Amino acid sequence: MVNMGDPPSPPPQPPGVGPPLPGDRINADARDALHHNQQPPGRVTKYTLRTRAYLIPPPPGILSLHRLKRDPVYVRVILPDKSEQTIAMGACTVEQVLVLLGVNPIEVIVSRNGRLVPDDAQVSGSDEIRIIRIAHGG
Amino acid sequence: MSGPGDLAGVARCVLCGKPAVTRVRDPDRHLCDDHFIQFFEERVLQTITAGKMVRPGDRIAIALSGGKDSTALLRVLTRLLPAWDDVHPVAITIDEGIAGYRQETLRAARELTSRHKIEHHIVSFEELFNRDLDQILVGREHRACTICGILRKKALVVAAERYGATKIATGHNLDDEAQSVLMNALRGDIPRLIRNAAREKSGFLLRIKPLCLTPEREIALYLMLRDAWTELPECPYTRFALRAEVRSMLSKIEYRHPGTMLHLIDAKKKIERYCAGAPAPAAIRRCQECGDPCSGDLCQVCRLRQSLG
Repeated sequence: MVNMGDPPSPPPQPPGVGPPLPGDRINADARDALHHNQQPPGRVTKYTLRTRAYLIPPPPGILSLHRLKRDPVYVRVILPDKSEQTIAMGACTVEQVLVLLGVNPIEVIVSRNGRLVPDDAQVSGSDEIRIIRIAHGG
Repeated sequence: MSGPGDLAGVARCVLCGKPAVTRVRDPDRHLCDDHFIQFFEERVLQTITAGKMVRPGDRIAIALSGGKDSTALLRVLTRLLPAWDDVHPVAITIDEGIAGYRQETLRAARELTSRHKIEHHIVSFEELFNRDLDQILVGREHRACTICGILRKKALVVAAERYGATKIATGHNLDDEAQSVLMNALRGDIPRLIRNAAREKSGFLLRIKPLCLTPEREIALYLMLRDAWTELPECPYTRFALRAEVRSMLSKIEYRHPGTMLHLIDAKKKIERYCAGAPAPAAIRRCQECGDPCSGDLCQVCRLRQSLG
């Protein structure tokens, strides 16, 4: 696992202007930009290896170097509660997206652009990932 | 939205080369939708065959709550049971009367049995115990799963006997079974851990679990691929149970150490084998109130009734 270093602290900006701030969500009107894998206007949540304390410690080797600064990938994620979040990551798999969102991959089923996919499927720019949580009991 | 580009970065089925929908373990391999369905049904068939769960002439009461596990169980059994002579399924649904939850699953259960033309009976707590679960649990929410479990098992047995069943099939999956092993170990309750091994000999109606080696996630995937997936709510009392904590802990361990749940099931079978032939902790007796088999003077249901007044 490679240390990317701490991201620089962004200067204070008015809402919707300037570089994105961690933890912000994208405006749904900016979806068109995602289709061309351009950074959409507004705020995008960027994940690095140090962004969050993992609720599920990943197995060794699951997280590889995220080339966030060079090749960001903007992915729209629909969470189990139907809310949406756009995240910027390096090239990654569905499993890595789930782990970084704090979701246990064995508790959910994931579709990518409307198709069910295994958790080692690659995620690329403008993909839409839908996370379906499995209700217990039955 | 789907197109050829959507197949990029997706592994191929190890059997036919089509895009995979999942990765299964032991051995690790990718499977497409058709081969996963085939794999799923074959594993259930092997579980039934290896456990001698079905015999010719059986009338099997399928405990159908309307949730994903019992829905998958009913669908698989309607496909597999014709292989045995003179085996008939009957679906039984227990209506505990849980507000905001049970009505939706009851509706799903009715639709399912109607579509598959399966005999279906609904038995309610109101009918058997004169109160629904919400009324019984007022002030006792922390014991919700314990009380519901005891009463629901009784209701299933009553219904199964009423409609002439020889066995009860439940949708307990691998995750449920592994959680139970761990919960009983955490409580130090070894007799409960090995109880199933003694059940057939003691006069209890035999319970079979054809999905006991099937992971919960694969059950959900099977239903999605069969276009039978419905997003239903979770029981509102789940959060009070030890099982919720054990489930969360075990699923994290399973993710990091695949195969843990199967190891727990194997450990349980070994303990059952070591205990087979050992004297039972207490001889099986008859309840003084209702006559049901039990290990003490009163069965669990009659003890519970007394404690609830």
